[in-house]
Amino acid sequence: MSATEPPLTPASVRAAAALAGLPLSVDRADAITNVLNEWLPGSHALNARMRAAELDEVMPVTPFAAPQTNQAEPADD
Amino acid sequence: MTDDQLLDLTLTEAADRVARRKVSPVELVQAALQRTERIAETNAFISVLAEEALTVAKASEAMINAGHRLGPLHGVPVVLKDNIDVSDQLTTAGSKVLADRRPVGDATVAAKLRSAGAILLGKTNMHEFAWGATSANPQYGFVKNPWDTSRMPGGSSGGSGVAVSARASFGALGTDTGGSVRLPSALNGITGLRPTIGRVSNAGVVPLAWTMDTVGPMARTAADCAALLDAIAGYDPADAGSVDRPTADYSRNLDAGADGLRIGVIDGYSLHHLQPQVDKAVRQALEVFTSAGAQTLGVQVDDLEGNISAQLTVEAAEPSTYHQRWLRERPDDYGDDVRTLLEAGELLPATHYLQAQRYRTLLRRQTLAALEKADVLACPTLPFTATPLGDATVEIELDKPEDMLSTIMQFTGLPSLTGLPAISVPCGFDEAGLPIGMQLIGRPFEEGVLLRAAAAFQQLTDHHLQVPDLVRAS
Repeated sequence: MSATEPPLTPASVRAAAALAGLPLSVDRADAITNVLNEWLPGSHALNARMRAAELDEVMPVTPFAAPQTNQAEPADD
Repeated sequence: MTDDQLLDLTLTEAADRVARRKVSPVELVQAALQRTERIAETNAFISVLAEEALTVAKASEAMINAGHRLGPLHGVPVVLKDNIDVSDQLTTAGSKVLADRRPVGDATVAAKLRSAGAILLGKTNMHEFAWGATSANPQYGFVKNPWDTSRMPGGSSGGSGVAVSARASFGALGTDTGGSVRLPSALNGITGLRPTIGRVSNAGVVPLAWTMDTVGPMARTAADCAALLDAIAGYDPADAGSVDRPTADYSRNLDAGADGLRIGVIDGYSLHHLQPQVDKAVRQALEVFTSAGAQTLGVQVDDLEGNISAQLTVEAAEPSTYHQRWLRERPDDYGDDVRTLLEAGELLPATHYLQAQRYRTLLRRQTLAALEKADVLACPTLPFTATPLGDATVEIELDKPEDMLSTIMQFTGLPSLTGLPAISVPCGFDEAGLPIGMQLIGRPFEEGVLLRAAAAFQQLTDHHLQVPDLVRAS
């Protein structure tokens, strides 16, 4: 978390889980809160870096599966 | 030869002796099976395919006696991480979720190993679903390091690392997302290669993170890894991420030496934030290279600071996507640590994931620029030696515990995020006798350069020849 953002709480994690459609029992929220509070400061810092104007043209690495050559062409109607 | 002598052969030595009918595949399999029993306390295996391996070994022996050699690995026992499909054999990915799963076919890499003549001896234990780096498996037992069974072997391919280190197998396949081939290779004193992404097929492998996963060879020597890569590399239309590009002969020119090799050391990173004995071993390894005619030079990669966050984000979001169904239907079948990571991964915003993927593009550009000045980049494989079983933190500096998962990825993440090939090579031991690994990172599809550099190092050193006491103890 950045200096201006308070740490997540189990209540906010449960709210985020509801947003994600993830059923989450009360006892799970504590552990997940700890993990996210460990991860998010770095993640926010990375986001801040990637917002820099000089990086506007940087595209994400994502796999786009090419059509396989042995796939049949769709039949004409 | 005694069983110990047989099992001390490297993979390529064993294959050569089988080819010359100096050693029988049945002898190799029997010796290896006895060793699996002797190291049972390490929990390295989820299943040992004793009956099938012996049947195949007898057929393999008959074939070689009749003058037929299936391929370069004919008659040599190897093992596979348990997230790699083997037809009709349990393939659990180290999880209770898949405890009864028997695939109907081989993964492409398993089929290729069989085609090369290898004998599949067993399926190795791992961190559950490969989502972790300690191989502390709650379902099949914590995998234990043969150099000190009170310590972890790294992961997620921990069982494969132990099986090779303890000479229960001549070679192994692991899978590597954020370091899962290289970390257990370093911590078990063996050699492990992460190929360029797309070089080796992932078809028939239970995924962790689609954009970072690759299968990789693990063995005692660079030459053995080259022989395994020769067998498994190549385009596979069954894998959408496979790259249609000719393979090299990776076993060729392995004796070319290191003369003229330019080794880049990344300023402020390669030798930064290490346990002192790791620092010392890697510096000594660089001296070995320079004594053989290599040149070391400082290089820059400016944006490395974000690499741990990017890994955690991608490695959290992608597995959490893959596991959405099981996480809702069978959450109690996951171990607590992996369940927590999967649940946390579902809560990361999509924008965080895509910023991490954009960061990978940036990091790749910068790393490739460094690799214009150097042939390979060098750093430790990880900044510490094997920690006690079950520890979730590690101390690089005294009395300053750090999160294990973040710290262990400090160096392996760079190739994982950029898709570049990397090899871990044994480069020393700490005062407790625990192995230390050095990582070399190469340009895309230049696995041959890495293997030749590693082979040159192994011609000048004997770290890779050391044997854990557990193996020799009667």
